[in-house]
Amino acid sequence: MRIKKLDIDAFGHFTDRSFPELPTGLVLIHGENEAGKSTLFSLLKAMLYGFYPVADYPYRPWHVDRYPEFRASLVMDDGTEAGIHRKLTKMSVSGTFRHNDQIRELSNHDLPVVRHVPMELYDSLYALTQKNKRELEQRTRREIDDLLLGDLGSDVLRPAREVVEELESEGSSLWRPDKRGQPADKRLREALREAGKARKDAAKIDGEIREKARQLWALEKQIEDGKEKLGKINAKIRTGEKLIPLRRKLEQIAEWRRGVADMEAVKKLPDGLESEKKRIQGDLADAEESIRKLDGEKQKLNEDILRFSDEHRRVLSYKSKITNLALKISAHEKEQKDIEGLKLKAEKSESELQRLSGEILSSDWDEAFSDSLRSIVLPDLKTRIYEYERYRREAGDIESELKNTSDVFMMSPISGRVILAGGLTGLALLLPGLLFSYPVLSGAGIALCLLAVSGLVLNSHLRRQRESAKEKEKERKVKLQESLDGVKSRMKGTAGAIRDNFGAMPVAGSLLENPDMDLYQVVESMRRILGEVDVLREEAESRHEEWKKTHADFQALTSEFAEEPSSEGIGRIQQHLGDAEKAKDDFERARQRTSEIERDDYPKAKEKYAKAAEENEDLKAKLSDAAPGAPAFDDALNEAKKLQNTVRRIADAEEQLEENNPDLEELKAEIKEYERSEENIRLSLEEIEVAKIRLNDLNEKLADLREKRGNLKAELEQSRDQVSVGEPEGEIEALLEEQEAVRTKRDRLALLANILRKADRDFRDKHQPDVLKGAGKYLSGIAKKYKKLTTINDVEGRESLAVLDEKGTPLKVEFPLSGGTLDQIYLSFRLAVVDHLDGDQEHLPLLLDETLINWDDERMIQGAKILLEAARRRQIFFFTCHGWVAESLCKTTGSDVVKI
Amino acid sequence: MASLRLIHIADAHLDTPFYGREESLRRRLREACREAFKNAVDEAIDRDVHAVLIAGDLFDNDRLSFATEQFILVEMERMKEAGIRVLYATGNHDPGRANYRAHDLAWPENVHLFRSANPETVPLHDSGGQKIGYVTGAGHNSAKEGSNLAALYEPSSDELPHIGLLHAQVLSAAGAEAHERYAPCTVSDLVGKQYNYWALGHIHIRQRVGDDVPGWYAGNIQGRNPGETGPKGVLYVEIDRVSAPEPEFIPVAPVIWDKADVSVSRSISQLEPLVNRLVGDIKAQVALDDGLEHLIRVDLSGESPLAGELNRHDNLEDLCERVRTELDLAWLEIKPGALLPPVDVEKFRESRTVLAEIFEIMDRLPQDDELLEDICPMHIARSDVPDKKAYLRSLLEGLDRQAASLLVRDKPGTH
Repeated sequence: MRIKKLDIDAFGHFTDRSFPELPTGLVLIHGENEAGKSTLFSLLKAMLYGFYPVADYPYRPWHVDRYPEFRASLVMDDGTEAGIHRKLTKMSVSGTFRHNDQIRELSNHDLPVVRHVPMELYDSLYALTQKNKRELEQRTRREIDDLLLGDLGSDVLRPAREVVEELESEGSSLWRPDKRGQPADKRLREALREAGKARKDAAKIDGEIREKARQLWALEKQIEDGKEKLGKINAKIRTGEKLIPLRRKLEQIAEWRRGVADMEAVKKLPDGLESEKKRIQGDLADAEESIRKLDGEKQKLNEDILRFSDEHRRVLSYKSKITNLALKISAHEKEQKDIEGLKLKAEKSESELQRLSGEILSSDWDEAFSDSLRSIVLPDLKTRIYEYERYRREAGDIESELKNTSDVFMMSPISGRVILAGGLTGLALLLPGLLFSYPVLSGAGIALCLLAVSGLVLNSHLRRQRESAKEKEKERKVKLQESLDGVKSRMKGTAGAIRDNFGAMPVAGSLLENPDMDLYQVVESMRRILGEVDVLREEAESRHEEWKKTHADFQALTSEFAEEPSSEGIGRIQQHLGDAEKAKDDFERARQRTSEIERDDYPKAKEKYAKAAEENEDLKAKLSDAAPGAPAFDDALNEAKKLQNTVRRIADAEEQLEENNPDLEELKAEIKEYERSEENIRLSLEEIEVAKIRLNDLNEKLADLREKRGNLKAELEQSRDQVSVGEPEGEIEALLEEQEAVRTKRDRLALLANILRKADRDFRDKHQPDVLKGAGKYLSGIAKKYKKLTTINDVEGRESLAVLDEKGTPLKVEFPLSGGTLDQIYLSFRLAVVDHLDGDQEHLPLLLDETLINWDDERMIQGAKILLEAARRRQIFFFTCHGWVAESLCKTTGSDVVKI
Repeated sequence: MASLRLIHIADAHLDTPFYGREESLRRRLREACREAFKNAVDEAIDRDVHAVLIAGDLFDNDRLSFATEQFILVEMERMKEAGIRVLYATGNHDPGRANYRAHDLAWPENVHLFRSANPETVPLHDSGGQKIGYVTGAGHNSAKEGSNLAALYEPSSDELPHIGLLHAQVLSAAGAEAHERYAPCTVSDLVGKQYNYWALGHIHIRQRVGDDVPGWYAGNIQGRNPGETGPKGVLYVEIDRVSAPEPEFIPVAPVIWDKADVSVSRSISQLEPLVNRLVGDIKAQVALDDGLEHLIRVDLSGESPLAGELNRHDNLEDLCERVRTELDLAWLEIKPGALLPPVDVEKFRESRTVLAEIFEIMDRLPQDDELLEDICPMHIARSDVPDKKAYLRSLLEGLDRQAASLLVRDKPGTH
């Protein structure tokens, strides 16, 4: 396959670049470093295999709007033509391959004609660069041998021998046929042994646990049996302990019963014999005392009856009068004092009347004036005095007016001289003012003149007014005098009327000539006092008459008892009355009480006495029945008391027994039954004590058994946490599974190692001869003294690459061979490898980068010739940045130089 | 007439030797089995059932531990105190022959043991002593009961509800192939008895065995391994002669096994994204918020550059721990077996490389005994395998991809 024409739309930094006529053999490309040699190689690779990796493809154009795209025209090895177009956009990859009139969609797949060489291999073997050479120089001899002989120089694959060693190492880490090391299988075997032991231990423990469980069950049975026996004995003891006191009590009661001869006679005895005896004897004494007291009382009552006398009866006949007057005596004595007070008050008022009469009368007061005073009409007197005083004030007023009529004020006229002086002054000012045109002077002159004229007019008016007033005054005086005379006349008449009012009373003349309200005031007071005196005297007289009548009654009563009619006398009479009333009450009460005693009290006391005596006899009889042998009453009583206590104890004991034992009858039957039961315990404290000792023994045995059971249970409880058989079995199962997996994995690795070993051997056998033969041929064309490439084995049987010199001596491809020789050998080897890889398939283009750079001139010429020879089978792209190399090769091979 | 109320329990497998290297996990699972059984008994008491039916495999084997025995007896006593009859038909794991545990245990009197292959019928009574139904059952006498026990059951002949109790393999049941063929029978064996309900045990998948027969497997009460996923429990059923029973599933298992499939793409080449993917996918596939403990097995698939790394035990453990911690899980197992290195095997098959040579050898090995003999390792670790060639050939599965992943250098642009 050869590329005839290449049109690059965009690829890396190539844009719209065209190589219209590329040489189909050796293509000499000259360009500076970074001119695009790598880019061009990647383009060739993309042409054959597609764009990889698509994501982040490194040769996307620098211009963002362009995508990697190119077209190429090819000539296939059979001379047919083909075309290829590939494009990588942002979203898709497209490609077409046209050959033999067929167009095939490539997408991003490789060309159908390049599939004998995987891309990785092409990448590794069809590009020979200085970098390859440097990397080769860094490898060990063994690696180089592996690389060249095992992989034909490709580093796409790791050397099979290296992988085999890893596989064997990993396999040994899993499993080894011998006992060396610590492979996983060995650890698993140990773990299995441990797990097996754990399983055995667990089974053993489980067996032990079961044995303990069986022991536990046996113990449980023993404990149950013991508990049952224990229960029976316990029950017997409990029953015994309950029945023994009961039986004792019953026996005691029977004993008591035997000590009482006649239970019924004792029961008939009253409770509290001693107190009963005392009560009966007390009743007898009480009855005798009652009769004695009644006799004494009756005698005393008789005395009260005899004490009520005839004098008591006479006093009681005046009882109502005494009571009535005793109530009035205090009021009667007070009335006498009040009457005397009224008389005294009337005398005081008469003294006041005399004192007042001295103010207005010309002589001392006389009783005879009383009627005149009583006859004065006080309202009339008051009116007259008011009237007289008014007339007197009117006469005063008229007299005063008459006196003032000549003093009437009138305004005097203005002096004529003043008016004249003013008029003249005004004219004196006006004329100069007018003459000399002084407005101030003329103004003042005019004003003064006007004032003078006004004064004249006013004076005239005042004079007329004065004359008229004098006439009127004269007329008024005449009228006033007439009025005064009239008033005085009426005053005189009124004074006479006032005097008439006083009648015979000698009122002082001065007071009557000029009467006023003071006079009236005195008269009025005298009239009021006189009235009061009249009332007081009348009342005192009236009450004195009444007093005298009542006093006669008092005198009549007190004289009967030879007493004064006074409070003291009346008091003593009342005392007599009280004594009489008390004597009467005592008399009546004594009579009534005496009657009651005879009727009620005497019979009751006697009856009580009789009853007590009867009870006493009855008690003696009962005691005699209950204690027949007792010689005396007190002995019988004491004996009876003892019997009574015994009977009471029996009753209490029986009651208590019944109360505490509702099933008493059953218990009594149980007591009888107890002795007959199969348990060998008699109903006695001694027997019960013996049974208790047996019980303790049994309890101790049970405690031992329980302790053992507790220990066993604890052990069994702990055993719950013991590893059960299943757990190590689960581990064993897992270990076995893991062991199987480990062993299988190891076998798989061993098998793979063997396959790799055989494949490596076969590969070498299959390809080495052809490659070595071709490489030797190329090499001899470059360096005449080396005829052939071959392999040699070292003492370990390891294969190494070697070259045969002219004498047929094998030389290992390593130092001391020169670097140039080694380069020639590698080039030869590489050319032979690609020839071999292509075989009879399409020969793919080869890329050489600065391959001949260190070669001497002659060898470079030979090398160029070899390349030319190789270019007969395939297209070779030779890149150099050295102009002289390009020129030399151009001259040697006749090929054109393509500049980039 | 009132319905007959029952709880149907099967395959409790108490004392199962649980798979796993971690002792704590094994112990937890053993406890979980007991908890599940205790929960079932609680349900029976709470629902005041007339009887509890145990359809075999109450415990896993005759090495039943003493503690578990005591546990079983305590639970039976609890039901006795609640007035619940227990009808227990033995299975292949807990056969009823003499000297076996089911036979020897001192069962309380409320427990009736069907331990013989000959079916017997037991009447059920309500609390008032009135007869309310029958249970016919038969048990596995030995650990390998091969006969069709269902065929021996007498048909129902009474008007009262009739229940069949049996540990058997109904051949057409889902998952039957995963179980040993003990007491095999067909659906028609069951149909002919005219029973109102068949309480079956043996197959651990809860299911009705056929549309024509009222027969149910309750499934086991606690998942025992990563294959027994999802909620596990018992069936509560009310039975009368008139209507078809509609069992209610009651979950009782405190620990749930779950499975998650996580596909990894080539783009995941670091541990952190892988952890995130695992956490996200597990959360999406498993309901973790139900308050129960979840034990999860994750199968990784797809192609990832991490395939080689995860082939190492310690790396895998690290990954497990990271995800387990992130999700707060009691247990997590990641199986990277289906995770492949991202190698284009076919690309090298036609190349002139040693890899192509390897592929050629591997292609020939399934048929070429001589070649197999040639490359056979001198020492086989699995010396126990009965057929060495078959074993070696079984190892070839995926070996080409492994070879490629080992040989092809991990260089940028090479994949």
